[in-house]
Amino acid sequence: MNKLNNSQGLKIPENYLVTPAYVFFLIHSMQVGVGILGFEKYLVEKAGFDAWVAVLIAGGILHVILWMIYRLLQNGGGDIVEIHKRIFGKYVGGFLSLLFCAYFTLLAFTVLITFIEVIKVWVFPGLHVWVFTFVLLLLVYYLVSGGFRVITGVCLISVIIGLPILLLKYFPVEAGHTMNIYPVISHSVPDILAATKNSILSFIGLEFLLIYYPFIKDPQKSKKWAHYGVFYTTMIYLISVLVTFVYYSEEQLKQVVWGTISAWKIVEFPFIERFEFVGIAMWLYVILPNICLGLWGATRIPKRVFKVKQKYMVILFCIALYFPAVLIDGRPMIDSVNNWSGQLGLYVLLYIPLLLILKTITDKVRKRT
Amino acid sequence: MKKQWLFLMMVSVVLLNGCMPSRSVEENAIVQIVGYDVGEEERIQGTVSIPQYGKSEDKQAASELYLTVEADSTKDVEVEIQKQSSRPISIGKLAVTLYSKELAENDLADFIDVLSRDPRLSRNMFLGVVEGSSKDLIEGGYTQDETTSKHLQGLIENNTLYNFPSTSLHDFLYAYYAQGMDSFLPLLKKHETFVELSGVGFFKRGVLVAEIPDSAIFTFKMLKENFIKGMQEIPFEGGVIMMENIGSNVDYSLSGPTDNPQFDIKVKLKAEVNEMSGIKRDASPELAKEMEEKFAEFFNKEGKELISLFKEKGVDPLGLGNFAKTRRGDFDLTQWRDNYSELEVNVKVDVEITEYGIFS
Amino acid sequence: MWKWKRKDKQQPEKQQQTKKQSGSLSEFIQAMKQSEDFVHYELSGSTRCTISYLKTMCDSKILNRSVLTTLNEESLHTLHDMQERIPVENVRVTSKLDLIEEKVMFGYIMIQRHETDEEVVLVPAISLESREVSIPEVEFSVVGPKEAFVETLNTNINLIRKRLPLPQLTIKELNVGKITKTRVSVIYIDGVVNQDNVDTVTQRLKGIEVDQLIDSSFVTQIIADNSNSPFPQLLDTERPDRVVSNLVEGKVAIIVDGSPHALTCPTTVVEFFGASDDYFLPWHLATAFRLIRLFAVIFSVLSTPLYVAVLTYHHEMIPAALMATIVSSRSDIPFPPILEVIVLELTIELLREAGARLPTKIGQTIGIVGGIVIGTAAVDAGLTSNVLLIIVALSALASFTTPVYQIGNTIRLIRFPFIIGAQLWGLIGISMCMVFFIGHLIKLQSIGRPFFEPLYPLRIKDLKDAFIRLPFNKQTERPVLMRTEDPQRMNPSRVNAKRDIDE
Repeated sequence: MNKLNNSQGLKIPENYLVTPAYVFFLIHSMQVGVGILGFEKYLVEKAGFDAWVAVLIAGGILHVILWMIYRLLQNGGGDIVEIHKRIFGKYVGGFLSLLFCAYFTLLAFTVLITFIEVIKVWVFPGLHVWVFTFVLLLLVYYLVSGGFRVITGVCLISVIIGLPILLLKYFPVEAGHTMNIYPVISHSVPDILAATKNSILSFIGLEFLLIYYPFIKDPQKSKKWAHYGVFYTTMIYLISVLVTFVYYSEEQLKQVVWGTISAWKIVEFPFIERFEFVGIAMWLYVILPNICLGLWGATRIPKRVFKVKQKYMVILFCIALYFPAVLIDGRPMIDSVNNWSGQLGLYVLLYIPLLLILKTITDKVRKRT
Repeated sequence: MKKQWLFLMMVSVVLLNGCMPSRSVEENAIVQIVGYDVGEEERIQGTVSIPQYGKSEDKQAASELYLTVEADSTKDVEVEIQKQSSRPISIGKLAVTLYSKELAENDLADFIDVLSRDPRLSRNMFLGVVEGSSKDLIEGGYTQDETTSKHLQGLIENNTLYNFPSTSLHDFLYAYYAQGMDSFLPLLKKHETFVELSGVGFFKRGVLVAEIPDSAIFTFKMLKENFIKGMQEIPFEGGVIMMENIGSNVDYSLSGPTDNPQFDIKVKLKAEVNEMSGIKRDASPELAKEMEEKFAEFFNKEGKELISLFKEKGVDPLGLGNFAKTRRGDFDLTQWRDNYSELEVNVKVDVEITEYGIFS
Repeated sequence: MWKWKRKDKQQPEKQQQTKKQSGSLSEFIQAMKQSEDFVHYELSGSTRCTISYLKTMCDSKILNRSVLTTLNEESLHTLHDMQERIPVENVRVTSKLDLIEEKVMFGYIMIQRHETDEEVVLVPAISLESREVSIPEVEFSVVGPKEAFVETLNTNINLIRKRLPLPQLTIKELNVGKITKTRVSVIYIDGVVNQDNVDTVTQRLKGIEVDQLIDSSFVTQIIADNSNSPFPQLLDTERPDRVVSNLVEGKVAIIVDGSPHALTCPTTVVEFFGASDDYFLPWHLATAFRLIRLFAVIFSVLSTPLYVAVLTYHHEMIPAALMATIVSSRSDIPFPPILEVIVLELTIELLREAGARLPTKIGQTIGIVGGIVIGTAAVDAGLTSNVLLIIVALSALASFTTPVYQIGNTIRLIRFPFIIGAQLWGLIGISMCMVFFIGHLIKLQSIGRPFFEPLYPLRIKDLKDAFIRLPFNKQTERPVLMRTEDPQRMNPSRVNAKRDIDE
């Protein structure tokens, strides 16, 4: 709609682009991470068994934010770096973009350490974290070095492999108490809003659209896929919440750290029992897109701001992730990192409407001059 | 070239250091039953059973190894047993945990905390309370199955399909932690060559406070959950009728104000009668009608008795409070507890006899 | 890095060759005279001329009946007279030295007016020794055509052409190999194929820098997009019918002279698990067999790693009923599961390798001896457990269900990283290995087209003939992968025309 803005956008060669439908997988797989394994606890603390409403509200809010992100990118000339540059100028804009880079890195880091903690708690209490993290990061480097298309592929595979895990929800439902779910809302609005806030924390991830937007072919066509993605995530979260509500009693759930993994324990087949091991192993597929896309997004920002080679940035960031990940230990510390990244994610989501307003204003001003 | 060397070095470092300390399955002492008794001087006595699997030819666990130790806590039991075992103890496949009645009447809270915390344990594990010493029960040696663990597991699992309400570690923990719900466990009793499921024990938090005999289990299960099997013996005109359940449906409903609620428990039972001993009448629709009424009366009475027992002991294994909590937004737990003994609960059982077997 | 070095080394070689080519014809003849089978003499009949040929490469029938008779009976004075009179097809007159050299080496008869003349007549008298067209042995199928390619390029092209009698079938020929100068044909159907694919293939073939090209598998390895990958990126087949159906789908085929295997590209990983049998059976049966094959492959790769992972780290996962079986069969074994598995897997590989190297009759014996004698003996001696023996034997068997031999090798070898992963971190290690291979497959390309195709990029249309095979009337379009110029196979409206009852 505006010639000035469209003239100097970021152009990515055709063969690195992905078709709009993949936005569905990108958004969904980035949203679902380690959070889903134990987020019910934080909801129940605030709103009890009425928390399912909070999940729906959070989903709705995210649809609005997604709409805003698309508005923001529509004629923003590419990604967040470009938008920042146009609104705030080279230096302030660059600085803000670097904050995003830090945020993305923190997200990747959070997922990494939480997954390692899950393994330590559930499978190998004596895990050699430094070797395991090293190999895991090597794997991440291998995937990220393949570029955005490979990461998209990993997202797709993760969604496909995640599907059979969903079927396991049948077992807790069968063993559970369906009368726990009853559409009477006994909690106050502030309680539910607090739970909404908590559930948004596990929904973050769609802001990566800000950085991979230029990699989408016909980006405007991807809108509906993105919304489908958010909707699908909301549904999966809703199902998870309902299943854990059926399976656990309210007070019990407040004490269960990893609700979903505990529920896997009861899955039994004639040839295999104790499904949590398989579940955790399969969860690697679900968290890898998080780490890969996080790292890719984080390293792409310096590339765009400073024009450095992304290849070296990925190595640098891997090393930067490695040492803290090895050193961090213990539930309280990991919990607080999770909280920080959640809070930061919330601010980022709040920052998007602000950015949209600023952008509209600057666009108007520029048009006039 | 340098790159390849670096890669090789990395691989070898990972291989040498990455491996977890591991033991293959057969090198572990796989504990299948743990039993706890009251020990001397405030300590607890733990007994474990470890199956000894036979060599190549006979594929079954031929024997069991029993180890008994005195310890201060559950974890300490594991430590003490380790001292007596030539192989590392693995509690991942623990199938049955038993507590002696004495211990249960004292308090099980500490044990339960460990049970809910340990990630190695299966949530499908069975818990049970032993009348007498759990050590004796574990070491009993039963002829039906090769090992005690198999015997106990089979016993409880099989019975939950019939008269016994479903029970497992998860069910226990669910009720234990839930507000307005109390847990129950099967009572086990050792006989010469077998173990008998002698009744149900009801807990208030971690303390065993009440129990019902074998004969009332059917009624309890009927009030607690829907099920499709099970049998109950009912006296009828001087004789006895075996009633076979082929589908029982229970429905709770709540009415009245929150501070003085009223519960209605409606049970619809479809039954089959195959055996009438001591009754000198021919099967006829009239007889069926009479039986239905008689049965309903029987169950109503039994149900009332159960409920009054629960009220008297202040336990709520049916989870009425929990139910009220999900239905009423302004549910208050302390108020509920105070009012529980005066709570009005109506039991209404409706019996329908549909079949008389293949001979009429 | 070393690619660049290799190029550097070849530079002087090239110069040498050009120097040699600039020599004269007499030098060539002198060089050839070193060989005993080179015949060079002067003919003193009605036509006076010098005749030279390689007697091992020439068909003596043509030489005696057509060439010598004509030269002796008629008096021919110019080379052009000879070209007209000699009753052999495609006789040509030339003075190009490199052409002469090449043709003589292939069995052409060279006729000069005088020994010193630079211009010669070349008479084709090639005698080709070749195997009869026989039944396919690697990709055998119970029903369907029973012809397999042989080592002669012309025969192979003949096998293809007779199935595709249309002018659009284009065959481009190149010579590859510095010393062997092997003929390589690129075959495609013009108007169906995407020209980009043909260009990529020809460009890569032209770019091959190698001294000898013995077999088509050389080409697979050299022109692969990632030559370090264990996965073959070109499909090789010995069945002309398979090549033809690939050509019709819009693929490009490469045939190398001297190799009984044709290559087709671009290909996808799924295609390696499809047999030609799949098209000869009704679609639901074919689908079932394909799924069984897919399951077999997954089983083959994952069964032993899972055994290691579960027995070493996650024995909680074994149900109580199975526990007795596994523990009692393991109870005598002195080794940890990882060692047991590696030893047994290597034994199976050993048997396969020995069986493959020996003549068929002895090979079978080895198989039986290995399978039965060593297997039972190992169990009796308490070196391996019964359970593992079953698993390993089954997984070996499963790896042979792959219809394409090349991918079978890959399947058998990639399980070793999985086993190591399982020993490192149990199921999570297996998962990590799997992620690596999936990532690798996503990265791979077959002549520039995605190798992991119907899965990623996800193309629902191509999934119709991937893990399942839908009936022919549902497959009205050519695979998207090839980006063909003519995507329509047939008229879908006519194929799927609905008819009412009794019409």
